Amino acid sequence: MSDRSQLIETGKPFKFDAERDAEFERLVKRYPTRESMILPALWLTQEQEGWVSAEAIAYIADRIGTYAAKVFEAATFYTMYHLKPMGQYHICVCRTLSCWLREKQNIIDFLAEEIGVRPGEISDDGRFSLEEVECLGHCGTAPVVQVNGEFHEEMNVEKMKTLLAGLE
Amino acid sequence: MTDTIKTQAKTLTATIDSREVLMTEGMTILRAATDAGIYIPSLCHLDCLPDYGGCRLCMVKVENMRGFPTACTTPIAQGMQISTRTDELQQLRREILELLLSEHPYTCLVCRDKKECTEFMHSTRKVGTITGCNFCPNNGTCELQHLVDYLELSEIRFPIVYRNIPPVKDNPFYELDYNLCILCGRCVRICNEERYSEVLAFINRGNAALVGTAFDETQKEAGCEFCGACIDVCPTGSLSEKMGKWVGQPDSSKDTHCSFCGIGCRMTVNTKGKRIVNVGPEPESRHNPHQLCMRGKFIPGDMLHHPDRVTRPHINRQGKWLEVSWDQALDVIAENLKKCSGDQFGLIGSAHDSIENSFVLQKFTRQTMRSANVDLSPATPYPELIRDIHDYYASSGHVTINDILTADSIHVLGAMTQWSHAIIENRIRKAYKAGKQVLVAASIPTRTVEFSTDYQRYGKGCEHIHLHRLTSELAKEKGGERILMIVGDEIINSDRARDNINNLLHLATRSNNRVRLLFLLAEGNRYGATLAGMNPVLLPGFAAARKKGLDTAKMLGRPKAISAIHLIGDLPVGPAIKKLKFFVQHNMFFTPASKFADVFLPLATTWESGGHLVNLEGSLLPLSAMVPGEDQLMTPAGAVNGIAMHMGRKVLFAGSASNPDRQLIPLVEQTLTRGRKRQTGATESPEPRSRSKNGRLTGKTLQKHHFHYLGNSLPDLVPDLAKVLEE
Repeated sequence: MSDRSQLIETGKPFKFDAERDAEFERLVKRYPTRESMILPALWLTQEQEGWVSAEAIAYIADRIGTYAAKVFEAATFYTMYHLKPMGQYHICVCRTLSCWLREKQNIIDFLAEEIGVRPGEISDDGRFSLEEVECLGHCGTAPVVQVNGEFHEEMNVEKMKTLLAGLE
Repeated sequence: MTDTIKTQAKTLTATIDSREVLMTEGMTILRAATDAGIYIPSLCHLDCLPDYGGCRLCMVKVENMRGFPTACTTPIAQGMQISTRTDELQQLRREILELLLSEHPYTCLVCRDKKECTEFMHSTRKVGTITGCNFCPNNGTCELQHLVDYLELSEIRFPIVYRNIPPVKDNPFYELDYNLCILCGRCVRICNEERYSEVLAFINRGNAALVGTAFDETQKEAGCEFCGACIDVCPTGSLSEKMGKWVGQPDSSKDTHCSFCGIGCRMTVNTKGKRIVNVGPEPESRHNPHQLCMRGKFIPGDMLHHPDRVTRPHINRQGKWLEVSWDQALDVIAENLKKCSGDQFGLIGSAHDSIENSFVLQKFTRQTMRSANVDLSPATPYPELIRDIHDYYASSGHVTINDILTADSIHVLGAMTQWSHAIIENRIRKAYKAGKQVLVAASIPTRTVEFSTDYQRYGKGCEHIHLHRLTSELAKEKGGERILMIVGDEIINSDRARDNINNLLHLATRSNNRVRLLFLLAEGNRYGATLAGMNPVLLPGFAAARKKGLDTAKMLGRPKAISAIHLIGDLPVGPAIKKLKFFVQHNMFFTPASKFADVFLPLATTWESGGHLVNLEGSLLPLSAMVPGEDQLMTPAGAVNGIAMHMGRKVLFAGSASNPDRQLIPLVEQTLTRGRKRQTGATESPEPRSRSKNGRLTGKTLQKHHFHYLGNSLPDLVPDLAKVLEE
């Protein structure tokens, strides 16, 4: 069986806040079946909490009217759903062809040294998490770094330094 | 109905492997080929599930069609020219299979010694980890093995990837070894789309993908109902029953019907020598295609080959069991019963027994012993209950379980179908998913509520109030909606069963068959055994008896009501049992009641002797003898015949115990089709009802009514079952 510690229970009940609740209700009308809401609902959860907990999966299944295994299946399939809390700043470095050729590795190495996290890790103070991701679609301006969803193009170690300083 | 559809649908001609085949419009190529007897390989397709197109092994070449379409998803068209086995296709399939096998322990499949090894079995077998076919529980029935032969694959170019996942053994009935899993998705689909158990899903992606449960819970925690459907559809040995794991390859396979509950599912039992290896559903069955339930799937072997099974007759000598021969045992019985004939004697049979046995047992009681005290245990709340149900079926037509799918709305009354009649539960869920109205009423909520449009809870023992309200509401309705009522335990086994059933029958008759009733009889042959005359007031064929006897409750209700009992199976110990002058128990196991028995006879069950049963739909179904059983076991009919002979009375049947009377089967068939012969002068008994206290449905009564075989408690015999039911 897969790793049993994969999902984290918070011990607290999960619920959409008023804004997400309204958004959920708005989106649900768009689809012919309620099950289509699994991905948007997981996304809303991640927007709200930054990650997806076991309670959130149970809540979504209940809210949509499907079974938990179905939501769990989707959540474990897509890598962009985080099943554990991420850092305050979640840094994604593209590792696909163009970015690789234009030396994304330098950025990774720099970050490992500077903030002490390797891809897939979270810094001890919980401020940073680093992830290598597949193509972000900005190949013309490689290498690309994404911080909490915001794009930074034509990155190098110098620019990364300035960027980190700005985050402090 | 299907016939009319068939005639309406257009017939097409196509060529498959240069054979001209006729088929109907809308069929897929795979279906058409299978119907024409042409084999197309597939590892993911199942007839009972929607088309999937996952494994790609069924791809075929169609003239003037681009690429290689999958036969399981491509509808057939007029004039199609299809090839299923060209060199090119075989090569493509071989590559797919090679990829699949690179993650599956394949050493045996491509081993140089394959032939010798299969023939002489010189390799080591039965090890903890499955590293090749010879160690696999599925050896011989594996679809991958079959495919390797079909595609003549002799070499795999990819390195072995052994996933090294520890096998999961934490659930009671089956083991999961994900190292053998090829992720075909059959188990996930049958669990969710056919059984609606909604337990299994694919977890993770890519190389890490697995079949798992939500939150990585154990099967039981995730709500598994242990129907075993996933095991039956698995093409590999990834899922295997614990029961037959070490028995070995089955050497024969027989079809029979399950007798645990009233549905009578068709099943295939694989045996080796005297042992049941495993049980599978009949894929083509009308009732239960690809489906069984926990009891039918996992219990028969555990029960029949239980280490506590008693296989020799015993006599009680001052509290100590003395093993004796059949002759000695029968002599003791004959001697004692001679003193107790007439109303002194009572016989209590079981509704799990065949009609043949039931017929002989009642004949023994009525003719040899000249007593009318013959009944089943547990007894129905009033003796004529089955006759009343039968009269309804005879006048309005039998209701089948597939009628659940065609009714407009379904009422489930006081039933715990999830555990008691799992295949009926499945039909209810299907009806719900098809958008039918499902209205559930029960004193305790079960999972059926999740699949209902409305749920009403009534207080324990208040089912009659709900029923009264419901029937009067429905009686007022004038709509054309066809309603099917599934009548469960709480109604049938209530103290007020007679009122409840009359109430329902009245409604059904007045509604002009718009409301139909399906009675959930708990045991496999409750209907048939009563029809065969195992009833204190009814003779075979439901004819009213002139001389009325005592029912089980009355025989046991008062000490010294009778002085001798011949019991088939087991029953709860009461004061009356202790006070008996003479008590014979004919059972599979020593039970608490055996303490008071004078003679104990070893029982050959219907699994070992065969026979017939009548299921809750009123169909006569054959039971085959699955395993020969131990030499000293005897059927109830055989035993009472022996007793009669030792008493010097008339022999009860001339033929075999499996066909005691040439008239019996015709009588049963005739009764089922034409209804009961109305007898003039036979008065309906206005007898006071027996006040049995078994109307309360709790976890315990569920076990009492549904999880017993011949009165023997199944959770006591199979501790794993107790674990599953304890929630």
